[in-house]
Amino acid sequence: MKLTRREFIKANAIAATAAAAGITLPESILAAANTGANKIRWDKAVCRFCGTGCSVLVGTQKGRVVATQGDPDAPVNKGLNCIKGYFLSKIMYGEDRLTSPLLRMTDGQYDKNGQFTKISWEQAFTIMAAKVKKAIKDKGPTSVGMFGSGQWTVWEGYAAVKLMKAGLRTNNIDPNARHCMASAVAAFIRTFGADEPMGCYDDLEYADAFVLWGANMAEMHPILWSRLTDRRLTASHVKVAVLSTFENRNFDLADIPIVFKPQTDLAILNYIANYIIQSGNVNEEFVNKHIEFRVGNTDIGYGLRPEHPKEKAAKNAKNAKGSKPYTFDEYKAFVADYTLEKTHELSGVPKDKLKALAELYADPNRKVVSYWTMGFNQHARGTWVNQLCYNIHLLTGKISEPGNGPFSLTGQPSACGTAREVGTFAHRLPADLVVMKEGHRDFAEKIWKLPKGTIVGKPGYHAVLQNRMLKDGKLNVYWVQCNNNMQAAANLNEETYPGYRNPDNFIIVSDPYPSVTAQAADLILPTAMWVEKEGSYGNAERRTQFWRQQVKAPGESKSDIWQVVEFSKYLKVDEVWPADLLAKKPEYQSKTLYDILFANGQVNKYPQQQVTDAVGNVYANDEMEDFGFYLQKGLYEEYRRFGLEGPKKGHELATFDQYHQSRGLRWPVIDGKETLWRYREGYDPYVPKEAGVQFYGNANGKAKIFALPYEPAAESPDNEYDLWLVTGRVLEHWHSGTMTRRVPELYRAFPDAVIFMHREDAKKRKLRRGMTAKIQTRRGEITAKVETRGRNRPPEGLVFVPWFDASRLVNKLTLDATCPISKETDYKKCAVKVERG
Amino acid sequence: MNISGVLVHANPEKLDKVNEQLLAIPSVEIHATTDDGRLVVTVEDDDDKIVTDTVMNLHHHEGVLSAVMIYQYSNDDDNFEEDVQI
Repeated sequence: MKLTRREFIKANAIAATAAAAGITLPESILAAANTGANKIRWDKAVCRFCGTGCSVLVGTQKGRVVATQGDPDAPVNKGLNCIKGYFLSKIMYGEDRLTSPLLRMTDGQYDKNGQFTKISWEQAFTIMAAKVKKAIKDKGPTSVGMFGSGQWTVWEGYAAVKLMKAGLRTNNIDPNARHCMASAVAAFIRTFGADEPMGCYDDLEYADAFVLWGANMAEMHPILWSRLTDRRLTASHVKVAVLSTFENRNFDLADIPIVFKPQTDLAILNYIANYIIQSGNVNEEFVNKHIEFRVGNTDIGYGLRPEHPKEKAAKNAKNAKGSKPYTFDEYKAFVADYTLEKTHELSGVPKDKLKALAELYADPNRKVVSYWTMGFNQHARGTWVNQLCYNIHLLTGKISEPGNGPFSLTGQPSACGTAREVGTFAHRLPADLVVMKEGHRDFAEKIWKLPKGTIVGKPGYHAVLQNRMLKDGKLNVYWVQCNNNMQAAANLNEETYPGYRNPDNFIIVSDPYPSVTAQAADLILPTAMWVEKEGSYGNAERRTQFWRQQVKAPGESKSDIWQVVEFSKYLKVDEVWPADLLAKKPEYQSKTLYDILFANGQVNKYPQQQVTDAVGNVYANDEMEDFGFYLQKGLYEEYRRFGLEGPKKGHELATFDQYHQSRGLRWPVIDGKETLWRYREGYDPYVPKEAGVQFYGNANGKAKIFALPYEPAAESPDNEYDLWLVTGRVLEHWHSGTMTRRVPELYRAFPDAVIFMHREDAKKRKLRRGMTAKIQTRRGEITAKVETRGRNRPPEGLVFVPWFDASRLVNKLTLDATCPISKETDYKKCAVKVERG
Repeated sequence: MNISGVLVHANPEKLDKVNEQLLAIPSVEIHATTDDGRLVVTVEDDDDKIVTDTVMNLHHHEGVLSAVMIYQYSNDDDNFEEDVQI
């Protein structure tokens, strides 16, 4: 058989596409694709972007990634790729990759106002160590901190937690996941006593209805959206409800399209609960057996600085988490207040749509999945709104079974696997343990071979508080890895920038590219990214996935894990621990933190070996080469013990080697078997026979329905600042755009942030599509071009501006109000005015 | 040489319209279509700009619900009209 190379590659493209579509093709095309020599080496990896966790096949040729294809064997994406995933091969090859450490210097000396100057790794770690030791000596461990990431691999997050919480004895480590899904975490813990969704993506093929609550799946989770679209188009009874504060691409498929006024989702959810009760559709057996009722504190403030008038006025600003027991009858009376009439008035949603939405949940014969992302999570009542959604699933028993359940989608590839499961938050330890509980600290100290009292019992500074403490000069040495928080954090002008540039502070930023954050640093460390290192991510459905190192990183760049572990060699324990603690473990006296944390007989247990795949291809592992042992495996296997032996059950992970062989497994993994639906007998091995359902995260096995009201947003439009500002993402760019804006095709597809607004709002301000507008809040201003016809169609009174654009930093405008429980910022609601620019 | 394989989901009621629109684009071929609206599409060209812009614009055609990339190949070699023995 003779073919041109073009025909041969095209046959491959057709075969891969048809396989993903489930379409049978003529034999001749398949025969062409299935034969022939291929010089590209293909290996599986996890996509670098969102929390979906798609597996991609990475094609490498002569040490460079040249091709990618959706992995046909991946249960998550079944061979599909989205537009960002499609360009993955190009994210490592931006022209301005950082290739050596850079320190701000003048005349050969460090100077906070100096120019970035190339230095060696040894010089970089030496000055970092000097700054850390001095800060701890002068002000104690709370003057040192770290800001990490839901994009860290599992072992990177784990190594960082160890260095901070055990080595430097500071709990001031938090991930950017705080901006992303902290509200989901807080609500999971409050309602179920255990983090992360009970269901999985398989629900997409079983549900009879899908409700999107502030999730733009079509743009942010395109592969899951494609599975949802497929279900909707192939089963005619399936209904899709889309709720948002503006029309977006998902509305194209919506049977029940709903645009509501910002913040009134709280009222709509309580109305649905009321409707379920009034229409007699409470699943009484389920509620009687598996639910307890509570009423939460109200008037809890907005997570602003304590001296802010709004915090002073709030009755329960200091006790936001408080709650009291309640009864079903009291709860029934509480939600009875949310009538159709009142909810319609508050939300602006037509009554027939509210009823149709409520009926989806109330109908006992309809299986429903609720999805949400930042609309719920980035919300001044984020924890509440998550919990109110659980309430309606719990009242009807529509949870923990195929096609039924609430499901929070995540924005980052390892928000679950690293930020949540490893516990890189200021209050957490691995496997759902927390620093506040002595038993949990004792357990972590035992696994880590540390003297009792090493881990501090008080939670550290969360993300938003870290910026405030930098500004106030209380946090002085600060290491940022794997994220771009200068661009991502709210209220850049008043908090973030003054914090980073405070002369008392030394800021270290690790990044592959000169991001906005890196440019605001004092020391930049060049970082190996994605498949330039061996890695592991955990996606939104509890699936842990691994990949091998495919290529070498450019120049002197090193992975985050290498940086953390290598740096620990520069710190002697007696320079950072108090003498009385060290006296409990005299054998540690002259050791470095590296000896104690990483060369501890556990992490360095697995000797150097050759990394190969099933067909014998050999892969590099630069960290193994440098440290002389299999660092990733040692860290992972030590971490795994928290799930196997720890006090919180249901967190078992499989072995390191099993993940390299599989397309990921959903935890808990018991006897090599993954768990698809938690808390339900027959699916979850932890639920005993005849129990039916058991929410074992709580000691009594019950989930909690919380009565929680509608309360207004932190800042609403007024006469002067007369529009709502919503920020968010677009399909083509991932978060702050440091990777996607360096892919020429993606950059060109959406080069600059625009202001999406209603034509009437534009007209009133003498603006037309394409004109430059000035967008202003009480905190700052930016300019952007007006878009009145694009993919996002806001109602009158609201504008949407994406945040990917480093030259239009929309977080100069936003307010750093947070959910007072989860401490996650509300990026979706502040008051803005727009004028001709 | 750049070649992409794209799976397009079309609204089944607008399938003919989608077929017509996509076939009007040079370098687009449709290799299979199902009644429920799935199309196996390839996009090819030598000019990087044209391929990727075409791929990215598939979303914008009326009746297209989603366009997902499955396969992407890009390389600078220029001997792709050469026969290969397979």
